[in-house]
Amino acid sequence: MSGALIRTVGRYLLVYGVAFLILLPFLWVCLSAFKPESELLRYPPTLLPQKWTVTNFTQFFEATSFHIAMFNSGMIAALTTVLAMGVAAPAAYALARFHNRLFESIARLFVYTYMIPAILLVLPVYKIFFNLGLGNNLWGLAPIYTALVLPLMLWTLRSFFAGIPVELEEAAMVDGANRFQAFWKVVLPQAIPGMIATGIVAINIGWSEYLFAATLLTSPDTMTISPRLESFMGRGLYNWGWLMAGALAVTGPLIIVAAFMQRHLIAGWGAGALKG
Amino acid sequence: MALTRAVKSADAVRAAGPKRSGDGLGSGTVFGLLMVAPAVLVLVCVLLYPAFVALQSSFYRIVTVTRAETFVGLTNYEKVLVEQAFWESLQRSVIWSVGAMTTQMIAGVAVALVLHKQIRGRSFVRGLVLFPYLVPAIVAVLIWRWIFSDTVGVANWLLVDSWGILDQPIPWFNPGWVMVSVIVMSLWKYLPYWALFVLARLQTLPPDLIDAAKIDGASAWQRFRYITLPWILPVVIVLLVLRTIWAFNEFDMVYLPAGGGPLFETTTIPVYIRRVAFEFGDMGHAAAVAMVMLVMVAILTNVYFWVYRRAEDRLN
Amino acid sequence: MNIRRLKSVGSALSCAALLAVAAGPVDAQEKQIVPFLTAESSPDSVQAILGLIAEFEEQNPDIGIELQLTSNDNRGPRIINSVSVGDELGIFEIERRLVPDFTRAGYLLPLDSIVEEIGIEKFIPGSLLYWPWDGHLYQFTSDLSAATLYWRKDTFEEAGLAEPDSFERLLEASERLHGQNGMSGNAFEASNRGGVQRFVTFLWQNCGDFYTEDGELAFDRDGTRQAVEDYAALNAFNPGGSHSWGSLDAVNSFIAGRVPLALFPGRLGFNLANNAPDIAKVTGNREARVARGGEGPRVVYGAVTSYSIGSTVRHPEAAKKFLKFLFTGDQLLTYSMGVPGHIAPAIKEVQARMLEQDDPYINDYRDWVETILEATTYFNAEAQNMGSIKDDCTFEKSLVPMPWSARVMGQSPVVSTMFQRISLQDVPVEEAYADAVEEHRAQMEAWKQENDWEPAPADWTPPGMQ
Repeated sequence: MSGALIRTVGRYLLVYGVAFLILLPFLWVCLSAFKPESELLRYPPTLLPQKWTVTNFTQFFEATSFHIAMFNSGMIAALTTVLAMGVAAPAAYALARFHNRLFESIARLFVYTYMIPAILLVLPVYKIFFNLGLGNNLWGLAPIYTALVLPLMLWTLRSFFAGIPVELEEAAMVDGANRFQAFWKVVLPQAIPGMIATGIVAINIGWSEYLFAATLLTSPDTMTISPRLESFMGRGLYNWGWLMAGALAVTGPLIIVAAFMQRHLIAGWGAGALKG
Repeated sequence: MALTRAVKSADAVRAAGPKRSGDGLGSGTVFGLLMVAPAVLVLVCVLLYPAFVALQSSFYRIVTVTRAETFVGLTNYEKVLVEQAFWESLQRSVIWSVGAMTTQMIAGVAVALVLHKQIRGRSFVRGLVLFPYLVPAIVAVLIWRWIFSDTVGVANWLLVDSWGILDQPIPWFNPGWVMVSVIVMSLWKYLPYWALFVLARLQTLPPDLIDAAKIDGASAWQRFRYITLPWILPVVIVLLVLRTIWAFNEFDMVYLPAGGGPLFETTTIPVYIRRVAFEFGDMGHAAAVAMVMLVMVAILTNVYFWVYRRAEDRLN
Repeated sequence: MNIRRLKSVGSALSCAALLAVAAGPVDAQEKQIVPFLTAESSPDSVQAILGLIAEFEEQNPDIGIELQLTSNDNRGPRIINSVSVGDELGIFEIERRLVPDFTRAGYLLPLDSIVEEIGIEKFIPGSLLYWPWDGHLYQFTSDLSAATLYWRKDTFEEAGLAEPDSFERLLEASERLHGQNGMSGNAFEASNRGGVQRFVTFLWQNCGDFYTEDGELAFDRDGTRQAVEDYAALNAFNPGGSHSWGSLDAVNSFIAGRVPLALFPGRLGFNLANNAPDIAKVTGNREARVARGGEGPRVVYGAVTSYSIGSTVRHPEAAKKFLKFLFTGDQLLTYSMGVPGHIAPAIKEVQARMLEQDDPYINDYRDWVETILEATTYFNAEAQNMGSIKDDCTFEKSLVPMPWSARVMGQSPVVSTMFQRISLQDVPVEEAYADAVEEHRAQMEAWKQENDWEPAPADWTPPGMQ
């Protein structure tokens, strides 16, 4: 066998092997979700289901109306992404283009706010939103999540914008566009890969966040997935089959997101030469 | 020497950095401020103002249940700096952060190098690898509790009964091991994050540099050490700073596996704050602990930056 | 994907958001809305509750019940957060540790009228938690739970072991069966979440207790020391990871056949019958006798789940109406049948009716349910009945809540830490026990320093107890 062939096979093994290892826990969840509870609570564990069943899924969704929580999570993830992007993009652009003391301090400010521990903020934020009448309101989470991901988004978006040559906007302005139009029509389209890459952080927090969601949302029809899942742990439910079904339900939609995003993600993260 | 030549050109490309924007656009500061305003507004209203309220509360003794407030000045801070439980929790926070960061960094870089290889279906694999990051903390912890369960878990079954590697099952949630389990859980969840960011940076590395080094006879390790590593270092440092801040503040991934135990071993500072607030019932005290931690993290971050700048200067 | 598409998607979403927010409060205007917070979140129970809410709303069209769910872990913080921001507390399942502080702070509505309407003699004695300092009722009992001993008759028979009705027999069985067929000796855990509940049965049957009714230390009694020694000896045979067990790990370990002995409320029996019928058939369920020679007062671990109504509730009469509706008569029966045996009704006739139900579990395991229901007549609750085991080793429910229970039985209970030190760090029992005694004393005195508190009036007897 030629050395090149061995090396190629080795390469494929390595790459797919690593991916397989990382996804192994998922594989186990998949297998577990299709076993009846009696088979799950058994030692030694069975590898492949002795008895394939979908009752975990049907019972879980029927009993908990989990699809409502999933829908809520999806909505807040989408809203947060739109809101956060709308706020972060202009700001990151400004921070990338202007380098005087004022803007440097603002950039510094965002780094420091990232250090504030969330637990410190939960109660005061809850109080504020409650007094605004947004107590058990799903949409109230959007500004909170926006604020939480803003520092991170700004940091990364800023590098992307910095990587886009100034000449483009200058050319547009020479052609008669004002500064905002130059930003909107010329710069933004260039930065789409970077924006998509940064957007994943916003999607993730909307979909997965626990602390603020659990504090503000109290009823089954407003809860997002993390508080909803947590609400039946402990005394209520340690029905492993249902929890495995829930875990799959939660990661399922992510497959779609990841498949769509991954090309843009890598391109986006690479497009801006990240400078610290 | 040929290798030095290759390294020098890599350094030059890296040091040139991105095309700078400069101030060729004129002052336009008003425009800039307007662009920044919404972000600053959100930040102030949602983060800074509540943080200020929390800071205020740290100067009071606030009985959790009755909300009775008594002004105590700096007493809370004195208490915090003196109590043994705080320092023990801080120590655990450090162990957790160091453990999580080193594993995630090394594994992240390694996986990035692997995923950089030219194979068919490369994009597909990269998409797959992203999964664990998108899984909520609760679900990730659930999955691993299921795998590590001492009674029905598959991990110990494989290790002891099936493959026979070990004699005794690993007590995943006992003192000594529980922090390892916690680190493993977040390694699994955040590895994709590191890998993909480093990978993105890797992709901007001009291939001719690597090719030139190969032609000049540099070994794989030399190629990594003198070309690849310096190239990805900026990203690694940035991630290290951000993730360390995250690690010190992280509650879910540390609390959910073992509830702060056993014997307090997973009681890092955020878990300790919860204990103070709801077990000892003093919200003001809890706020003081959080403030102290904030200051420490800020100092640490500044140290990072200082070290980074020194390193960068020395490289140039 | 271009900018234009992004823009239109964005504006559509924002419009939808605005509409949703605007539409929100409109339909709440006509009805009296009563929030109802519960941690009984197992889907069987939630289904039962939702059905009952629908029934009530049909009968009372002017009242709307808003269901709020929380996990057991998060229940306390959630209630506290609501209070902190001034949110309305409607009907809520009160976290046991919060009872003293909340009552003293005046957050709770007196519920005496509900019991008067029903008649106190209908309740199991000791199931209603009257407040000793003013004799009023601030928590209405929804259900009781009590622990019984489960053991594997088949493995015991095989090993020639007698039925475990004393400490000696428990220890012998644990020793002999440990390591056989991949089993550990018992499920007597020392975890943060479950350790206290398993241990207190041993504590009380050995004449020990935490504190006296007057709030003095009782943890230094000889009986306590004996209980600690006994339980630590049994700990040596529990599964290695049990120190970090969650609330149902004990149940699952028995179902998976990893332990032959467990002390647990009715949930174990129910889950066992549903998930591992073969094992259930050879499992025995009996009253727990765990002291030396099976001696000692007749008492086991149990708990009262109760609901309170916040004094700031907007519609107190509506709230009381629903509370009474939910936890009496047919509704209580429906609710209890959600998990038979685990959720035991506090009303005698409803208990009797349970046993007559044509339900697969009750049909097959009637004796189990009977044993458990009987246990609800002699259970004790550690945080709700301080000092129920007297110096002279008699058991009389005190109904005095332990004011500092959050400190000694909160996130990291003192006794759990003590047993963990013995098992995991090889600390000698004497030393760990002495430290625990000091810790119990210190936390009590710290609390007393920060709060003013006096013992309950000595001559007060709770209504309904003779």
